[in-house]
Amino acid sequence: MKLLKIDSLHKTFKKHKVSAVDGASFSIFKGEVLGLVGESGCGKTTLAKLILRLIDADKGSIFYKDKDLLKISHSDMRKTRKSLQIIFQDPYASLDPRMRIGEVIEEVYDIHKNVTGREKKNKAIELLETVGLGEVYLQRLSSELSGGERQRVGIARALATDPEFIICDEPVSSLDISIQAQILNLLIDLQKRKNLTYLFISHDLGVIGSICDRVMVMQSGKFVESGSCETIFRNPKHEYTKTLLKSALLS
Amino acid sequence: MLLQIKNLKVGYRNIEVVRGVELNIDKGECVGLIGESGCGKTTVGLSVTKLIPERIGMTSGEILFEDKNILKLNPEELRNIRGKKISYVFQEPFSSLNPVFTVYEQIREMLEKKNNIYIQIAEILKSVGLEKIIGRKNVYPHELSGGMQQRAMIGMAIASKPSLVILDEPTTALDVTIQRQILDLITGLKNKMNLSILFISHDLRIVFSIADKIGIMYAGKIVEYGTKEKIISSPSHPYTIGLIDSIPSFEHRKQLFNVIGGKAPLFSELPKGCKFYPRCRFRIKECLKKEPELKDISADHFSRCILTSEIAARRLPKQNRSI
Amino acid sequence: MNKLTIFGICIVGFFIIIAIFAPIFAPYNPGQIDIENILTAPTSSHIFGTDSLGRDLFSRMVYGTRISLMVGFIAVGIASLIGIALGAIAGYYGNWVDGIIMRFIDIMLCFPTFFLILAVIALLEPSIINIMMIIGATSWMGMARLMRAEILSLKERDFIYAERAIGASDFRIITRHLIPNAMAPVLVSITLGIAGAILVESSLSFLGIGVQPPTPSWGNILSEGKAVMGAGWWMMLFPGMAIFITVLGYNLLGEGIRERLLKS
Repeated sequence: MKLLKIDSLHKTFKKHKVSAVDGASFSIFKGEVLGLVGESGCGKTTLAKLILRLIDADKGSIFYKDKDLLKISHSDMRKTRKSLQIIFQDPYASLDPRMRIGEVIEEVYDIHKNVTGREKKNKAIELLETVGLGEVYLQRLSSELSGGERQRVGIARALATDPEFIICDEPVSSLDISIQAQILNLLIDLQKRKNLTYLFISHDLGVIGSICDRVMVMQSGKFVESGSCETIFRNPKHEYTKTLLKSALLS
Repeated sequence: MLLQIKNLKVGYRNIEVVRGVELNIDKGECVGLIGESGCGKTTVGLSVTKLIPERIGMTSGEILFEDKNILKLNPEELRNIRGKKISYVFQEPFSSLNPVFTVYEQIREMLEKKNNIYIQIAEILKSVGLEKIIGRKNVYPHELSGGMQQRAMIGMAIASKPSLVILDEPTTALDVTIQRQILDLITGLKNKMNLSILFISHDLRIVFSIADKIGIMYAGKIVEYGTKEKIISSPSHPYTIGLIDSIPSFEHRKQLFNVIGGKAPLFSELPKGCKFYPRCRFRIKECLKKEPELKDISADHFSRCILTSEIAARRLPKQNRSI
Repeated sequence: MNKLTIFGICIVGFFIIIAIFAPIFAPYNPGQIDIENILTAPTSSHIFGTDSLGRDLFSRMVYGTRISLMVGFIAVGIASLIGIALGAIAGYYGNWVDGIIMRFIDIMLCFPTFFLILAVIALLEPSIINIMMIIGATSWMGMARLMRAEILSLKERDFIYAERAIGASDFRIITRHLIPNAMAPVLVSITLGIAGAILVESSLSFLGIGVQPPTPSWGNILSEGKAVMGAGWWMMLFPGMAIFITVLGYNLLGEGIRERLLKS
């Protein structure tokens, strides 16, 4: 089943004048992990933000189920956001430095007004436990946490709305390798247990290869190749994909 | 032996972050120092030319470079070594280059002999793959891409024909394809100039691809040391095993990683006994008694673990993995 | 903490306490006229002396502290409300909203503020409320610019994108996440602004178009003292000192805050 269908999405930033995303068209199927690999500045983060309408696209369409996310009203979009979430790269920038971890997660319930009072706290504790943190973290400030712990909080926040689709935007690239493996395990496990759909963005072919079903390779705003992980890794067609694979130090 | 680090200890405000490091680098050899953030690996690199100001860091031990103890040298003697016999390349090329001087001026600054300057500079630029800017004397660092800036940094580092180059995460800020080019460049220069290299990185894959010998640091000490082949084929310290098992790869796709649980301890709250004990999968009670010494496993292979011989056999197969 | 900062805090605290507990500190009623003791130099019963109507200068200074600080606080309060709100809106929404607000700020900055205040006061009557409003309405531009600059960089941070992704409204993002995180430099500006407002109030009162007698303020005491400068040095010395020390105190405090924020 197609969960998201993206059609000729374009975005040009006025400042740079070059297309950050130049006609991206692809579909994401329910329950799959779709990898998006490319080097810095190729437009992969821009694409992530476009899909969630965190920045506005110039043209194109994003169909989630039957709705075109670029056409629905702001209030409709805010409701839809519950199903579409994102985990960011830099865990040091993705949490409000002034907030306690409990507040970070409970805020999600405040916004959607679907859980109240004590239930909110219980839900927050449950989520923290899901991501491998415990009740003790409720009162901690994000500045007291290590990178890996912050990333877990980021995951908990994304899970709080009970989404079916999560964009993982380089979720492990700023973490130490032992912590990176912990977070990847957590993401793999959550995906299986909750039947989540991921768009997994990374510059690291090792990470992509270890977690994704399909891969799209992006270069300067365009997809140059896409296919199953198997095909891309074993039998790349495009020159750029070959270069990437050759450079990737896959041991 | 070109460089011998003996029992190096460095403390910041009474907290020791390098707690007795031993490391030797031979002529023409590349030694990789692997560790996660905050393990003290950068401090080791900076200590080699006494770059840690005395008012900030207390340094003890010996660093013998060409049989002279660097920690005992006076400022003038140090100046004759820094940037001349030992040079550095840091992670961020852009912040390491001075933005108000041209690349030419910055390389010229590093030259030892001031005759035939332009020929010398052209040779250096050629050797680091910057043929494009040969003759272009007014190119400033910001006009270059990240990879080219790092090439310029490496050019500056080798301009004085040093015998030792310390590379601290030189490719971390770069894209994968550029990363590979820079690594190839470094290997080429090493062979051509018979350079000795101390390569500091958190990324095992990079160090595996470039180093001859590898030291793995944890909590301010080297926990395993050996030739690259030994470390890859028979890692012996539980931490090394955990790191290697944490490398994501296509070959083990969709399987959970055999991870090291928990996180690295703070230097102010180091555990008793073996510092890796709280995260170790193989731990036994004896580990708590005292911090193990580096133990010979085979020629050129040492591990700081009392269980070394049994561990290899107990290494978990990939499937039995936990979150 | 820096010694100078502590000194600044002491000064600021000292005057705030005096202002709050003015009736306790003042030995006399500040309006009480005593024809017998006109312009007496400081003595044990009138430690700051008396003015040309025989009123106790110390008591008038104590009550004047209240007025001067109140004008300072409320004027800056008004300025920061306007500045923070407009700066935040300009920074967050950008585009033409930003354009309009920034051009408005440019226009406001073109006016010589003090003469603008003089002109407005000439039209309205010079009451304390008007003084506070007009100082507030002409001194918010710096804060708005600071706020806008902070928000411009903050709004590109991932935690703001994360808020949008979980469905937070613009109002919530601005008030709960952007403004609190952008407050640090604005706080410095507020502290320095209080010193500025106290100075402006004193200048206006000195010129006779600020706080009107018989209500005492440091500025109008100074102004009265000017008339009797030869006969009563204490009439100018004490209010002058009070203004000087208070402004110094707020400036030291502001610098101290700035230093701390720069460190962290």
